[in-house]
Amino acid sequence: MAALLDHELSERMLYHSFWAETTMQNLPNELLNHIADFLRDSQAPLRNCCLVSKSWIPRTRRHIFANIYFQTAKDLESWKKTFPDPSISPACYAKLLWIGCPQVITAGGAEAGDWIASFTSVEHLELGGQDTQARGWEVAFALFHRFSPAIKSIRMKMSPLPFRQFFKLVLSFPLLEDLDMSDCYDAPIDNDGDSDGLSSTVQALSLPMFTGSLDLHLDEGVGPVVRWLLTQPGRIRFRKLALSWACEEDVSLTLVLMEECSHTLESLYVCCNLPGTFIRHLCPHR
Amino acid sequence: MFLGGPKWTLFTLSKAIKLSDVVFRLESQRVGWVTMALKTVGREHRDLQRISIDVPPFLIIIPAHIYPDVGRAIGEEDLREWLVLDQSLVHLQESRSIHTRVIRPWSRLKRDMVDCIGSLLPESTKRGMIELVG
Repeated sequence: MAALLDHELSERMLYHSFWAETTMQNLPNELLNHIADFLRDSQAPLRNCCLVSKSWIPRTRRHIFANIYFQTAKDLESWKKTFPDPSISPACYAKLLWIGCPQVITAGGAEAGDWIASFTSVEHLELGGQDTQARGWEVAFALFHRFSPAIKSIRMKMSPLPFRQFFKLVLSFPLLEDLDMSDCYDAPIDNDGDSDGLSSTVQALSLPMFTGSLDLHLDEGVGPVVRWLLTQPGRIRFRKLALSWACEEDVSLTLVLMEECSHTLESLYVCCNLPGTFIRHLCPHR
Repeated sequence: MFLGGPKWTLFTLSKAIKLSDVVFRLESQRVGWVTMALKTVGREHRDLQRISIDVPPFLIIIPAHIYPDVGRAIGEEDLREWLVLDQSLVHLQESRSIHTRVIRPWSRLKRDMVDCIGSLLPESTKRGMIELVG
């Protein structure tokens, strides 16, 4: 019994001496990173952690600024006011960048290119907005051209959208895996030449990796996007297709796309919304 | 019965042999195209584990006490398409152990949904093959 007590006492002393000698500085970085990772969804504790010491700033900012949303031009103004120097702003921590309308970008003025370029690690880019001018997106796309080499997915949810300019933007991201377009309709812009300064550089590029998912839910059907994909040099290797059919041609194009991705396609979602399959008005049986 | 019909009835899964998960989203009660697609599932689709049917809201709000006869409610021809689909699902379950899910938009209508699906896919429901998710 006495031996057992001695053993427990020595264990406790060992435990207390360990914690007395262990300070924040000599905890391994991996462990500290792990603590910050646990708090990723809790903004207030993360902000408190950010104040612990300078060494804690990067590991907490990685989560605090992981998702950046600019709904309006005012949001951007606020960002620029808080972080006037793009080169030392926390933009480099952002993994997801969401922009609500092109005015957010064009409002950036002459420095718009600088602040966009400061988002160097963005993997998921989402652009949205309704009733905006297609010309506004044309300007925005030119600024986004090759802006983050780490881009893996692009999600477009806007109308109108100049498809041709958007396709050029897509080609500038070689690591792109996922493409998601919904509620968009094509709004061609008259200048069909090199006025946007991208055509000559883009022609030399092949398709991005496209090893993820393709989501197309467009009023005019999957045609414009799928036809463009199928005419590009390089192979498509999507693992997931989610397509909404709006016309009969969409069925044929889906079949061609499935054949093209036959070695990789694991998941398929098809939504049949074709003329002739309209909803029948139900009448109660009496 | 679909030969020479619209193109969506010729939709085939035969080339996509790596598929593991397929979702058919319905925008009407017509399901002939789903059945035709499922008939192209062959032995080479070794990885196929799950087929989901995403049911539109208008279809699941057919309460049994208002529409005791689903055939009359949606039309005999459309009901026939559902019954053929039912047979295909039973066949896939028995021969390939492919799981079937019916995705419903509103959980509060579960009882009506069960009644409705039970009328449209009677054999699959009777055998307890259908998983309702929402």
